[in-house]
Amino acid sequence: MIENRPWLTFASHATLFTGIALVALPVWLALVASTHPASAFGVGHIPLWFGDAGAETWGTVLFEKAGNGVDTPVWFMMLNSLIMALGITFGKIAISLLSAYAIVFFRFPFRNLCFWVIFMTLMLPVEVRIVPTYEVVANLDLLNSYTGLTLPLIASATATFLFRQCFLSIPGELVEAARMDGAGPWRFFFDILLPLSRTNIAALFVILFIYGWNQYLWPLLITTDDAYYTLVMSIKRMLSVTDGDIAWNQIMATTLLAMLPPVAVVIGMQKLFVKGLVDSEK
Amino acid sequence: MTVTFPQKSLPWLLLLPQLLITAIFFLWPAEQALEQAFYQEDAFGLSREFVGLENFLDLFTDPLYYQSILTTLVFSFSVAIVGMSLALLLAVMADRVIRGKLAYQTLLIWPYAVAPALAGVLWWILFDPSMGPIALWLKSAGVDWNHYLDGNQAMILVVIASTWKQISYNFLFFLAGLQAVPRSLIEAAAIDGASPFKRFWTIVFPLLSPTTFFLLVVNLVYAFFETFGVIDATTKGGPGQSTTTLVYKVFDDGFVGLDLGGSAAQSVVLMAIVGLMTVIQFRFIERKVQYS
Amino acid sequence: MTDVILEKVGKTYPNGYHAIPSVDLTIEEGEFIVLVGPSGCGKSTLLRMVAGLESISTGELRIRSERMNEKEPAERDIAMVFQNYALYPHMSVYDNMAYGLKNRGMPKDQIAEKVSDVAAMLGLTELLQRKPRQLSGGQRQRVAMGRAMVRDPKVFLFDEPLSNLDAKLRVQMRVEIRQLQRKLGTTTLYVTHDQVEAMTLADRLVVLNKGKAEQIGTPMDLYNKPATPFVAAFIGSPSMNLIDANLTEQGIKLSEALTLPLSHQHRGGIVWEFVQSTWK
Repeated sequence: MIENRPWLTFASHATLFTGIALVALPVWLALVASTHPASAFGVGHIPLWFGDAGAETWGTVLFEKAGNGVDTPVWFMMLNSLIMALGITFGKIAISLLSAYAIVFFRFPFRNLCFWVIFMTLMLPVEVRIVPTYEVVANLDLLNSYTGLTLPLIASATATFLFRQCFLSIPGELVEAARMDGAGPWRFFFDILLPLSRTNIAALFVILFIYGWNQYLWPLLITTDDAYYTLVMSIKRMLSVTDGDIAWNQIMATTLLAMLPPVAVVIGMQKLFVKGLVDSEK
Repeated sequence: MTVTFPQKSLPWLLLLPQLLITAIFFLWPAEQALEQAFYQEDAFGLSREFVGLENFLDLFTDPLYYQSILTTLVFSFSVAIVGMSLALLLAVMADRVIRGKLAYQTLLIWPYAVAPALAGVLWWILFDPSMGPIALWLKSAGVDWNHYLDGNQAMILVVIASTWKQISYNFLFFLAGLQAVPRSLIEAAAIDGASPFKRFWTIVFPLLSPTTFFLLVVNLVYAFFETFGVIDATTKGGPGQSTTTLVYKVFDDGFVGLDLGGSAAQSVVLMAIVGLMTVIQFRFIERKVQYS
Repeated sequence: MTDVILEKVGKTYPNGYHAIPSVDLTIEEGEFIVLVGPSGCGKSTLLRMVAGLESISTGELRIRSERMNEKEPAERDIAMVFQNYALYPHMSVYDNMAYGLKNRGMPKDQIAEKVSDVAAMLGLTELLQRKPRQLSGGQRQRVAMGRAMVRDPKVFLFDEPLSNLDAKLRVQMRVEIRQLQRKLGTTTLYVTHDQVEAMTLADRLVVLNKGKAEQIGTPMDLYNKPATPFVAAFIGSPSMNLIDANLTEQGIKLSEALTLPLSHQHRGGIVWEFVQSTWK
């Protein structure tokens, strides 16, 4: 700031350190807990320092069996989570790009009506209309399928608005120049529009990937078959066994593995992530 | 934008996927909820009878529903206020420091990426009455912590877990807001003899009010709809109904209680609330756009 | 040979605004025509109608005697240089210039040859791999011209191409545009609000005011014999003084006290001009 007050600077750093420590606390504990054998729990306290069963626990959950209540290994559910997350992400981006393109660069009857129909999806989060949506998906015979996991979550007003905003900022002269250069709608879309929206797409990709990976209620409802379990929802299945059988060390290891990919994406692509957050709230 | 392509049918083709998915997975279910809200269905879905507004009447005469509304309000405002206060404190500190700003940011934003359900599990084990370190420490300090039995404690647990996840988001927006405060204003205040503390409350905080209001709305929406996982993984709405928020109740009554008509009526009420909130949010955003 | 013909071309916007009532203009091949007028006079609209970016409400546009009203911009065999250049920011200079040719399906080696010829002509050879953001204003301007030139169009359209350059560069580019146009012999339609630019570049000028062509003629015509007071006031720097006066037997009477005597010969000239301007 303006003047130099050493004690204030010190206090700032101290506060930030405390904040970071508090934020990291549960993860630290989970990490420690995952290195102890299951028998170390329920004897009155959780160990606060690393044990020696870490390799065994992590190996078991990753490659053999995630824990009581879930028979599939974590790597397999990771694959399912990845398929769902990428399916949702690419799906949302693709259909939103197309619809934003239609709304911005064409004039046709009922254009505003279409815009409002898409806008309405913003008012209907899946949690609110959960029962009838489940029924629709069940009627369409999509339970226990990748299509059922992804398709109902693909419509996105947020992404459409974001791309609309982005397209509106493209100078009209550029579009005219492309038309003079003989570019039709498709050529313009692929040669000019997509390359110009690159960073927006990437930023949105980060946000949507996290959204898709972290889906919980939806996969919980529509998957009853192990083969379609996703990592985040499997925790619930592992917690649903009777109290005595909860294998906390395995649950902690699975939890950490389940949060690893999206956390890595946020940290690794921090700039895009921040841009995505700010953009999608505009 | 005045520059457009002249094709007339192509835009429909472009819109088709989005409209189709919206119609099948949004409008159709919404319409079904609306319809179901006026029917009473038996648990096996074999027969149903038209009951008019009875589901809504039941809903609004049910003390549990009012309790759920109260729970939702307490929960949402707690999450918003606790989360925003802590995030503001951290953001102000991070804005002050010259070295390591980006490192601090990195170390504070990652919880955003953690799924709500996982956040719930992580905090649950810290507070587990028989083995959680915090619960045991509280016990030794004379607080009898057991969120399985005590509704208030259960509420505190879900608030902490939900807040933890949201601090990163608030932090980022507050930090951006702070960095947008013109340096010259703060310098002018310093020349006028205001202490750093006073400068914050008289200059910086008022200038942050658009950000604060925006975050308040976002946090309320978050607490309303996105914390389902936290509650489901930790308290399942209990003990009693003490952590049953409106959204959790829709799910609970529909899938656990199998009261489809009642659940549908709740859905309809919720849709109206979301609609209202969306309009408020957009009003605000319009204003923000005008000012910028 | 006539190249471009505008016959009673008019523009009415959907909201009923009558931007251009009716303009007639015949452009010979190789001619450099400048549309000039104050902002809002409809000069850009007229240019964009020729380009095909705005529809033509009434009248007919013909290029090489072919009706163009319904043709897409890309089918009119024209090229345009935009005010803000409108270079594709994600493409290199080479790709910017080659894009239109690629879209027309020209073979790669021909494109390369064409682009390098034009680049050499404009002194852009060294810059072909750069992105537009790495170029100065003048260089961008050249690329925009290069993009128009590689296509060998029948007509060049310029929409205030120099208005974003600093004064010195503007003079330099003006000379260059004129030289290039002479060398290529391509019919050119050029819009500007700067009358100096208009006077120095044009073979013939069209002075537009509120969507109407006030006068069409060579720079010297307009300068020496402005057809209307508007043209007289618009052309010339410092601007022409217009003073109300009465023409009497004694001479030009400016006020009760001051009358400028005129010889017979002069009087005839003035009366002629006077009659002409009142008739308009």
